[in-house]
Amino acid sequence: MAMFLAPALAGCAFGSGLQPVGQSSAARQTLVVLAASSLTEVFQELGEEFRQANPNVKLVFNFAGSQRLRAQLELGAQADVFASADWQQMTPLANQGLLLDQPSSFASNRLALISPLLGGKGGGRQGGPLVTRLEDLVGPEVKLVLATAAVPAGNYSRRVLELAETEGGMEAGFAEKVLANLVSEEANVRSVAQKVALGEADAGLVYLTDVRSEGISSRVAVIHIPDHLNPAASYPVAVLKDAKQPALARQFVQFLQTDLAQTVLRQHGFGPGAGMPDSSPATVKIGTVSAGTVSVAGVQNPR
Amino acid sequence: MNRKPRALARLPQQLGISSWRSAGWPTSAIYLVFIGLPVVALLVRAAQQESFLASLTSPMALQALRLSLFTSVISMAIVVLVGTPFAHWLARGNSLPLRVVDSLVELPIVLPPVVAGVAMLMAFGRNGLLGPALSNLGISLPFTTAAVIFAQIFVAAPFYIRSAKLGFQSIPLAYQEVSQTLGVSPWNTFWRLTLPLARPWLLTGLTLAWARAISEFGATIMFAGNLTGQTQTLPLAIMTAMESSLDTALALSVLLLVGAMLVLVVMGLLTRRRWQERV
Repeated sequence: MAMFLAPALAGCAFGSGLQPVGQSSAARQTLVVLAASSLTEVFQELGEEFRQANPNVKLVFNFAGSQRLRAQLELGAQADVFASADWQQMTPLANQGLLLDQPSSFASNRLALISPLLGGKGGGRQGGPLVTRLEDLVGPEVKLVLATAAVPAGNYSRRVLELAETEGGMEAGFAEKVLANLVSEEANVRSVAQKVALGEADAGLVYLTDVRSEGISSRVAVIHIPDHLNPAASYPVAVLKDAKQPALARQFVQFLQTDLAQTVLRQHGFGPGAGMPDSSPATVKIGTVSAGTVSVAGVQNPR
Repeated sequence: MNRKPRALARLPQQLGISSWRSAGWPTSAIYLVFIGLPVVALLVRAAQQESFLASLTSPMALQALRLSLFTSVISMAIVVLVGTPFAHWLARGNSLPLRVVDSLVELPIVLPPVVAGVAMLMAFGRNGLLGPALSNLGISLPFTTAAVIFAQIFVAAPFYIRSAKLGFQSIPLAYQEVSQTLGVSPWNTFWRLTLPLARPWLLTGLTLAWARAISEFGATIMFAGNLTGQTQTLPLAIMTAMESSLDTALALSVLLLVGAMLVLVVMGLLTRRRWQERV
């Protein structure tokens, strides 16, 4: 028994030593960044750039659906920076006094419709994807996957369907009929892309930036949605009140607005920040969005 | 090798812990707080909210409860029907292939559920191994209630089979031989002798398997997705509600917590009766 305990206890002793040897000379700072899952690749690259300028900084990223990160922050999760994929998950934090500064938008994005290239139907479907335009979503055999309405991408998706009905010349009840084809509501936009890329679902709405990775782009057909039906997703970022490294956190937020960071964002398909929140971001509810609200949120198309 | 442990062995005495046995008190106290505090915190937070009953009877909660009960009852029925004869067969042999099968049966217990979900997608998904065959029959499993049942059977069946096997093994072979020399048919022997004697083990296994089926999350969200009323079982509803309505998540968590406690009580009663029967 003691033979096994000894190394374990020794391990504890080292573990509780807390300060690594190099700590005293140049303080190594850790910056905890919570970010929307659609930012996964671009933030990892931006993190590298930021570290080149700040070699003593260790960046710790936590990617998930913005609504999950917001919920975690409300329940007391400790972090320095929060980057959300919409204002609806950011504004409640501001209202609860959890942010150090006003959030600012650093990027924008748009949705695209995707459908597996192989097609469902047991992988043997001939003649390309089952869905090639928005109209096809009402098809009787279509299995649609969206993010839940609380996920920013899920919220934007429902707005696209509403707009297609009101502005896009679709039949009355289009949005409702499409939602009747819903087979799963995923916890983040990347799960939507994955289910479609696997060919298990016939269609899904994801960000244009989500279909850039090899694993997804080679497996799905990307159907672009015209801008007037496709409100730009705005990405606000803010330093959190509980930040352990507020100065560094501000530096990271400012870094996102630099030409260098914006170039990287552009390379990954993101558009410029939309500046300010929607006219009434926290109160916008799915199903009651008017075309007017959306045009306020819309920014010029980066492409 | 022995020097360091000896120095360490003196540590408890220096800390005032006189014997190995008395170390049980502080450690058990720490452990009880560790386990008990989150449980108590959950109950306290749920009791503080005014809308507990309203949250528990919200459409999302009710549909999740109904779906969880429906799917777990069906999966348990299948587990018992298939698992009982299977466990009996496992209990009665000792050949090498049988022992290989025996250890394979327990694989889902140690396999991460999310891996089970991925594996099921690869097997039964539309582009999975059996996908085209199923498709020809007009069957598509992912995102259906049937997929929820598949996931539950996959992860929960081993708990029943393992317990049932132990139950059958605990019955001396001589009983069955005597029964058969008295002219009772094998089927009647199984039905009137083996099954009643193994019953406490079967019920214990069933309770454990049922609890595991109800709590299934990882394989379900991978293979069956998450849609209210179709595939959103209680754990998935809690995950979804956690991000929009904490009250609903708390209410459903308390519901599952109380259910888990009931399972422990039932198990306790079953095991006690088993001991009494032995004595």
